[in-house]
Amino acid sequence: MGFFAPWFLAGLLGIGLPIWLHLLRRHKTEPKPFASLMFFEKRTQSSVKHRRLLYRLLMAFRLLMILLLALLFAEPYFRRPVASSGNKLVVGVVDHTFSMRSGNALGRAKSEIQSVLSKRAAGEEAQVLALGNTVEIISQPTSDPEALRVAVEGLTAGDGRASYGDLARYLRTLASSVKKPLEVHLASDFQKSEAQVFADLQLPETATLVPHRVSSGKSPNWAVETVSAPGSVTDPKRVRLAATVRGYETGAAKKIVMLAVNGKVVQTKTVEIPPNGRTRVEFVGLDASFGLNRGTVSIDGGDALEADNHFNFGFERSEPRKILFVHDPRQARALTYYRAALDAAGDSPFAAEAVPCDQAAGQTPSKFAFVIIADCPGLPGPFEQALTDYTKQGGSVMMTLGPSALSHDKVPVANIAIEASRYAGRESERFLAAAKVDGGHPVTRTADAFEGIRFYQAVKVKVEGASKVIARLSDGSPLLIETPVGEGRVLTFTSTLDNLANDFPLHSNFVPFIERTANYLGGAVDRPSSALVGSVVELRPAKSSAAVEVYGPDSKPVMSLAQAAAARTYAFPGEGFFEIKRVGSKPELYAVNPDRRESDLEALPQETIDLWKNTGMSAASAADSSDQAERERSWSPWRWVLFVLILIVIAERLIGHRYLGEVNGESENSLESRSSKEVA
Amino acid sequence: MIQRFLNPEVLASISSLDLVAKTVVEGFISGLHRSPDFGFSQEFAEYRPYNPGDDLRHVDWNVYARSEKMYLKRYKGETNTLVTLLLDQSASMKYGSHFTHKLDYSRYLAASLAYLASTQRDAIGLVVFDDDVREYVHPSGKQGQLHRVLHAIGNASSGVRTDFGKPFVHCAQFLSRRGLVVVISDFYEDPQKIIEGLAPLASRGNEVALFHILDPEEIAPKLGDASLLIDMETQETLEVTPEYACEEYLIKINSHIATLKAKAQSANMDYCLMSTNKPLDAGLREYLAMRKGRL
Repeated sequence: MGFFAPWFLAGLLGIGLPIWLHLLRRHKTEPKPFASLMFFEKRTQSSVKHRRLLYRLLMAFRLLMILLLALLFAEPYFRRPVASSGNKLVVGVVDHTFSMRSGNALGRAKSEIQSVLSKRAAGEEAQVLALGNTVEIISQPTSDPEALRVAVEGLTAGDGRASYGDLARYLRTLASSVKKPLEVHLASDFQKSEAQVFADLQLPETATLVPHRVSSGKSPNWAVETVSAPGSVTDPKRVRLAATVRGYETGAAKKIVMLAVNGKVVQTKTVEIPPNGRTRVEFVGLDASFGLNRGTVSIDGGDALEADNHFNFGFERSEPRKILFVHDPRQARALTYYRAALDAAGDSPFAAEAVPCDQAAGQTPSKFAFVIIADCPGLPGPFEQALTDYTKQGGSVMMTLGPSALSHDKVPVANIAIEASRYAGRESERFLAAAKVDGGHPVTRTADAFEGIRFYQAVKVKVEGASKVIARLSDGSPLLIETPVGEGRVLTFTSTLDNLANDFPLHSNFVPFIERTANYLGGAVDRPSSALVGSVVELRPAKSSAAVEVYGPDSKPVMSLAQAAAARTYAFPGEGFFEIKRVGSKPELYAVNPDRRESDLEALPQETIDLWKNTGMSAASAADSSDQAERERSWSPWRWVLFVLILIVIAERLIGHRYLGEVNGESENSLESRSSKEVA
Repeated sequence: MIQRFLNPEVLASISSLDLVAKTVVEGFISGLHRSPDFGFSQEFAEYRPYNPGDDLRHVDWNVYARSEKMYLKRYKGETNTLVTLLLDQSASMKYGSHFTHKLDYSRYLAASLAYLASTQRDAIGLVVFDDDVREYVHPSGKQGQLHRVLHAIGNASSGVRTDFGKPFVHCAQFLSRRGLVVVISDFYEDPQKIIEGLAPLASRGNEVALFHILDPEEIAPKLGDASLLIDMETQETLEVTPEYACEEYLIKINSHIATLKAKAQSANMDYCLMSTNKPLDAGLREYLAMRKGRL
């Protein structure tokens, strides 16, 4: 027993108060005088004894009151053993992450847990959990052995990646809800990568962790670690695909790397992998048909975990989409640089179709992915109107402003007022630079989008209304502006795309800028070619009831009708190709792969596991014993002390009322006697 | 001191309470005692209307002749009776459950009787006793006797235990003439012993009147709960339950009173029980009425 606030025990000195009141200043019972007792006889009931009993009871209650009050403030606590008695919950946790596919680890884990559950005491409750991407509750706490056996047997290998921190967090929640000690049996390969932050492994005080290691953790394993492939392909011959092959606990080896598209091996390469190292493999060209294609990069087997010897990726092959490039034929440099940038971007899904400014009247903007108006001195009226309508209906336009723009007072479609042309003087400032760039915008995703670029000429515009400045020049004038028009948008670049008004086309930043603006304005989704197991994809925006269907690797719907009608997101449960079909849009292909950190089978050292076991124990008890099943936790009986104190206060009031009532009654009689004496 | 005992209210009340006390020749105001000589006082006292049955010898015919209304002419009696007061000052007489304890009440009573006796010129004597004679004023009808008696009554203080044997023997030796002997006490003694103690006085031709003074708590104790009682004379303590006080004690005290009364009457003694919560004049009136009936 101890005290949280022992200095309050000084309040016990207050016990002296009732002792002083009762013993030193106690009321002396005076016999009641009577003229003669010749007609009285002694009887067994004793008023004095009765009152003495009340008096002693009263004093005892008062002493107890002070004692309990001091104890209440001192907050006593007891060390209670968290015994592994029958009043506990046995929690069997089976790790069924991707790494448990190594050898027969999952089978051994299930056997271990079955053995633990069968050895528990009769009537003792148990619960089965599965550790995957999340902690899954396989069975509720029950003492039915058959239900528990079936729950463990039903566990299958998963493709997820676990975190022991998540398990510890769940156990803390479970311990606070079940209010009884937990005996946690964890059957796992104890991968080192699954316990990254040790502080997250804090077990609840009432939990006892019993580890069951089912893997040695020293098995050599090779894996296709990553595959870098475009999600969209327009020219298969120009596609470059890179893959990384890595070895864990391996020596130097030669591996055959195969590239397969739609199940057909299209390329093969042999690579040398250094000991415990990785090698990059590059494939050029993807021979694929138009539409969605399923690709796989794989290596030959012969290691501990064969499930990670291949890596899925998906891509869509399509024709390039056209961009309407309206320009002044006298200034053809902009078109040249733009096309060169699109080509340099690799397999760009866009191709520019040039049209002179004065001949744009016959063009229909809606046939193009988006439109670029490159410093036109004037646009035909019908075309400008068609362009405005196109933008309002969701189309996108990019305006570049040069010397010709000064013939207008406003930027077409965007209606941004043109104030003047800004030239950098050769005397004071020889050029302007981009100063404030919005790094959060998709076009200027990196803050160095315009770094090192010299702007000699820029058109000064006045930005008002809903227009948003994405980048400014060093003199504060806008450089890049986005203006929403209807459901579409206009991107205004206040300089040109040639190398006259600036040296932007000569910089390496030009190509990614062009690529990003094209993707942004053309609506090209820069979707990765692969995703991880457990990652979440958005099925529909909020408040949308458009039908969405998800098809699994077996090409069957993976959601029920109700889920398909209401679900807003979908988490990929396992490896394979998933296809998502939305109404009014093209199907999307997701190639899902297990987290490659699961391929590293290195296990936690035993010392770390021992430390983890002790996280639920107090420091003192942990130092005493690291493996004892019985642990202690502090228990404060303040609620009981308070309850007893209230009872004693009530009893003291009752006894005190009765005792003092008798004393007062006697005092009144004595007073009468005294009064008569005084009168006499 | 005199003023203290001769409470004017009490005395005024007694003086006008009854015509018997003033018209009877013997005894003080015709009721206290019977005069052996049937003497009449020449001092006019008052007139009162004639009632059928009154002695026609006392009618004032002169008044009748003038007014044709019959009035009795009354005189203050003149007697040679010896009145001796025996006042108990034992410790038990100090008991009182209310404002007046028994000894005070007894003092008032003795003073009233002494005054009434003196008004008809009786010789007054006083014996104050507990277990022995503590004060003795020889009976006398001389001037200032009343003051001596009242002074002795005022000096009576709480004594020790009661013993009726020794004081009564002494009284028998003191009292050489016949007269009225008034004993004022709470009589916590065996009634037989009390009567036996007083028998020598009665046998000498004295009239003996016993005034039994008790507190109402003694007649009907009211104990709220079990109590520890202490005897004021013996200092003996006893724990008493309310049930006993309400039942058995009542039986015993009532039996004691009845026995004392019966034995007193059988010994030709007057007995009057007076509770200290009752007015003194009421107790005296009751006794005088009783005495009148006996005369």
